[in-house]
Amino acid sequence: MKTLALIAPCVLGISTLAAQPLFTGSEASLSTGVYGNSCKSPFTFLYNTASLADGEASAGLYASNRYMLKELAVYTATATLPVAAGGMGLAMQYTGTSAAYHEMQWALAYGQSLGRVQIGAGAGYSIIRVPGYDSYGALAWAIGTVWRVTPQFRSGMQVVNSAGSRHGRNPSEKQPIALQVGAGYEWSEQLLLSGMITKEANSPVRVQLSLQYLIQKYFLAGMGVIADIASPWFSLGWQWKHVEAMVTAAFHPQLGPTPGLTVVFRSEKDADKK
Amino acid sequence: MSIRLTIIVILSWLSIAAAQEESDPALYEEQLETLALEQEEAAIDDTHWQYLEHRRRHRLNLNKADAEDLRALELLTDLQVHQFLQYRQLFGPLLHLYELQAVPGMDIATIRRILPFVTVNNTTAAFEPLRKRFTGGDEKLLVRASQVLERAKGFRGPDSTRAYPGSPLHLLVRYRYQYRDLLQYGFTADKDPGEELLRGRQRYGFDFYSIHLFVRKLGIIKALALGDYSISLGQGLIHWQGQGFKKSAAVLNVKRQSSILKPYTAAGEYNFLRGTAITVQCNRVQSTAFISFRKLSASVKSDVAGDYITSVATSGYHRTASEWSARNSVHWMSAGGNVQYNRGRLHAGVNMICHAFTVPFRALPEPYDYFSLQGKRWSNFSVDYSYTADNVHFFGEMAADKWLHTAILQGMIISAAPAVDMALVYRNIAPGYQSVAGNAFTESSRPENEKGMYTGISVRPARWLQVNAYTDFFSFPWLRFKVHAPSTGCEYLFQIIYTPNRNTEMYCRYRYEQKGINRREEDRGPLMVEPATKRNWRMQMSWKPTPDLQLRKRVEWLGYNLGAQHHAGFLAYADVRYARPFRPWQASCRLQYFATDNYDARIYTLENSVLYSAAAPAFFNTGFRWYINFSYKCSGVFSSFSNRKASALLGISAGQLVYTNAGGISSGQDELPGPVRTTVQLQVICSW
Repeated sequence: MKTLALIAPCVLGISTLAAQPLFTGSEASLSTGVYGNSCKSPFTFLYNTASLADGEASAGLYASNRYMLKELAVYTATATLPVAAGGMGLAMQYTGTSAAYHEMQWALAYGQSLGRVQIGAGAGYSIIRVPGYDSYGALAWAIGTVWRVTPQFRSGMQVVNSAGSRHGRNPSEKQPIALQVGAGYEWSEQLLLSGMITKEANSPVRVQLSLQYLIQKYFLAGMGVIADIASPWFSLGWQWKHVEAMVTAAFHPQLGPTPGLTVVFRSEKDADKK
Repeated sequence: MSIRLTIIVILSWLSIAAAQEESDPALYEEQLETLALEQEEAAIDDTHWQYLEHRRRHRLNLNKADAEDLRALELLTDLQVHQFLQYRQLFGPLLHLYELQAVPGMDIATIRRILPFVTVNNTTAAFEPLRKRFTGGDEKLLVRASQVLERAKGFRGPDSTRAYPGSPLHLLVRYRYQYRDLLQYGFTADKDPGEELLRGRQRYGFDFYSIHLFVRKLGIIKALALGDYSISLGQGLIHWQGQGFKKSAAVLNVKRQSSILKPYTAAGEYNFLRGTAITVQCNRVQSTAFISFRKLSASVKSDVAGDYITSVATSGYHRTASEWSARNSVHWMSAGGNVQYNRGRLHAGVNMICHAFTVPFRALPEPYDYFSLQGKRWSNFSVDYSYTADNVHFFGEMAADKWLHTAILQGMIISAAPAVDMALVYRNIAPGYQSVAGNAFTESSRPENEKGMYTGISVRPARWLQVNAYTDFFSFPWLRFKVHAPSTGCEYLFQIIYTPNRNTEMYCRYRYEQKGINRREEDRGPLMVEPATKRNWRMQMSWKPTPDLQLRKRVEWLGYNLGAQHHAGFLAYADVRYARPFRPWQASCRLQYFATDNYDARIYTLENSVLYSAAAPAFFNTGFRWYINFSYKCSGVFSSFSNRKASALLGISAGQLVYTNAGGISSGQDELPGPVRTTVQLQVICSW
C-alpha cells in the first residue's frame, strides 16, 4: 500500500510537472494576489506577467513537499524589480530530487502599465532530467493582461505557450498550451477575494477560489480551494517591516497534505505602501 | 409642461441615459449571435443589420413613428411599443430622448439599445413630389471579396479533374438605392468559393443574382414589392422569412414581430420569394397579396412512380457536378395573402399561403419521416391576433395545413411590476402539421411535431443588476431525425448581468438542455432513445477603460453527457476594439483558445469581420483562433464625378484558425492540407 501511495503521486507528479511550464505552477496559495492591489507577492507574475506592471521591488522563496514526498519537493525563488513604466521579474524553480526525476525552470518576464490596462510578457526555459532515461529542455512563453476596472476590481487573462513547444524526442510530448482567466475584488485593503480559471490542453478546467485577509497589519491569513478536485488550502503568516513569512498547508482528497513555506522580502518603499 | 421639463432635467442629471452613446454594433450583437447559433455555420442574413445601419444614419423620429416603425427595429417588445404609444398619446410628443426614461416599460438597457437608431424631432415634413423619391436618395455599392488562402482538396489538381472548377474566391456585389423609407431598389450578385465566374457553366457572370424594387406609403398602397422580397405571416406557423429568434438570453423576445412584406437584399439563395407583392391599407383594414415564381435547387431522383425531391439545397453552393445538376431543378410557385384588422390595442389577421412545385416531395421510407411534406401542392392557413390589456400583451396564432393538421401557438408578455417582466408561450403542433417555410418560436427548427410550455422572467432588482431566466418543457409526440421514439426534453437558462457603471458589464450564464437522442450500446444491441444533456457556463466581461477602447473577454465551458459518455468543451477569448470618435478608422482583434473533447462538445461563438459580415462557426478539437479587422472611411471621394457628398468605407479582415491537435481541417472536398486555415476579407462600400 505504501509503495502504491508512493508511485501514484510520482506518476501524477511527473505527468503534470512535465506538462506544466513554470507559469502554471500548481501552488495555488502563491497566486492569491495576482488580481489584488495590496496583497501582491513576488510570485504573482508566475500566474500573470502583467501583474509586474505595478513595479514593486521584492524577492521571495518558496519551498514545499508535495504530498509529504521528498521526491516531489518544490523550491522556487523569485525577484521583481521596478523599471521604467513597469517591472521585471526573474524566477527559478527546482522540482524533484537529483537522484530521481527532477526538473529545473527559469523564467524572465516584463510587465508594463498602459493606464488602467496592464500588459506583460515572459519567456521560460525548463529542463527535465530522468537519470538513466533522458534529459531534454524546452522553451515556453507567456503573454498576459490585467485590467484595473475599478480601484477594487481587477481582472485578467494569460496565455501560455500557444506554440506548444516540443518537450522531448517524441513529437507528441509537448509543453501544454494553457489559458488562465481570473478576477479579484478587494473589499478593503485587508481583504481580497479572487478566482481563477485555468485550462491546459488535455486536462480538465481548473477553478481556484481564494481569500486573503490581513489581520492587524502584522498577520496574514488565507484560504482557498481548487474546486474541481475539492482540494482546500490554508495559510497563516506574519509580516514585519520588509519581511513576510507564511506557512501553507494544502490537502488533496486522495494524495494527502502538502506543507509549504514562503518568505518574502520587500523594498522599504513597497513595505511602507502596504 | 413645466413638470415634464423638470422631470427631464432631473433625469438627465441622474444619468444615466447614455444618451450620448455612439452607435456600436455590440448593441445588437447578442441578437446576431443568437441568430447565428440557430443557423449554425451559415452566414448571417444581414437584411436586418442593413436596416439598422440605415436607421443609424436616418434615425427614426419617435414623435412620428407608428407601431409598425417601432416594431421594425426588432428591439422593443410589443408591450413596450404599446406603452410608448400610449404615453405619447397621453403626454404629447417627446421633448427629448431623456424622456424615454419616464415611459413605463422602458428600462435603461432597452433605451441604450434603441438610442443609436432613434431621435426626437417635431418638424413636419413638407410635401415632397414623387420624383424626389428617385433623385433624392442615397446610393450604395458594396463589393466584398474573401478567400481561404490554403487550397482545399476540391481546388487541387488539374482543372479537368478537380471537384471545384471555380476559384476559391468568394465575391459579393450589392448595389442599393434608398430614399428614406419610401423607395428602395437594387441588386445583389454572389459567387461562392468554387463556383465559376464568366466562364464554364457561369458564362453569364455570377451564380446568383437578386433584384428588388420596394415602394412604401404611396397613397393607399402601403408597400409594393417587385423582384425579390420576403413574407412573414402571423407568428411563423405557416410562413416566416424575416428574422426569427428562438430561445435566448433575451427571455422576453418570444413574439415574432416584423412587417409582413420586406425587400430581400441578402446574399442567401434560399429564404425569399420572387415576384410581386402589395400591401394596401384602408382605414383599419390592411390587406397583403403576393405571388412568386422561382426556382429551387433540389436533389431530384426518379423511380417507377416518377421524379421526386429528396432534399432541398439551402446552402446556395453550385460548385460540383452534382450541385450543379441540382441547381434550379424545381419550379416553385407561391401565392397567398393576409387581411388584418387593427384597432388600438387589438390586432386580428387571417393568413393563407399556397405552394406548387413541378416535382413532388416524397417521404423517406423511415418512420420518423412519415409525416413530412408530400406531393406537388401544399397550403396553409391561419388566424393570428394580439391584444394588450393594461400590462399584459396577448398574442397567438392558430394554423392548419391542407390535411387540416393543426398548430397552435399562444403567448403573453406581462409587465408584472416596474422591474419585473414575464413571458409565457404555449405551443401544440400536431405531428402531421407541415409548412414549407414556417419558423415559429419552437424548440425544433421548423414548427412540427411539438408540444411545449415556455416561461421567462426578467427582474431588475437594482439599476446595476438584472436577472434573466427561462424554463422550457417540451415533448415530441412523434419520432424525429436520429430520435426513433417519442421523446421529451427541457431547457433552462439563468443569467445575471452586473453593470456597475456605464463602461462595465459582466454577466454569468448557465444553460441546461436535455433532449432525447438515439444511442446504441457500444455500437451493438438495440437502439435506445436516451436523454443527452448539455450544461453550459459562460462568463463575459466588457469594459471601456477609455471612450475609444473597448475590451472584452469571455470564458465558456460545456459538458455533454449521453449515457456513460461525458465530453467537455472549453473556449475563451479576448477582444480589443478601438474606435476613436470622429476619426475615420477603427480596428478590432480577437485572440481565442478552445479545447473540446469532440464535436458533441463544440462551442459556437459569433465572429465579426467587415461590416455586414458575421458568422458563428463551431469550435471543436484544440487550437487557437485570431483575427484582426480594420476599417477606414474616406470622405469626399468621387467628388469630381458627383456633386453629392460621397464616401467610401474600406474594410479589411484577416484571421487564422490553428489546430494544435488535429492534422487537417474540414472534410471531403473542403479538406485543407494542414492544421491551419487563413482567411482574408476585403470590402469597399461606396456611398453617394
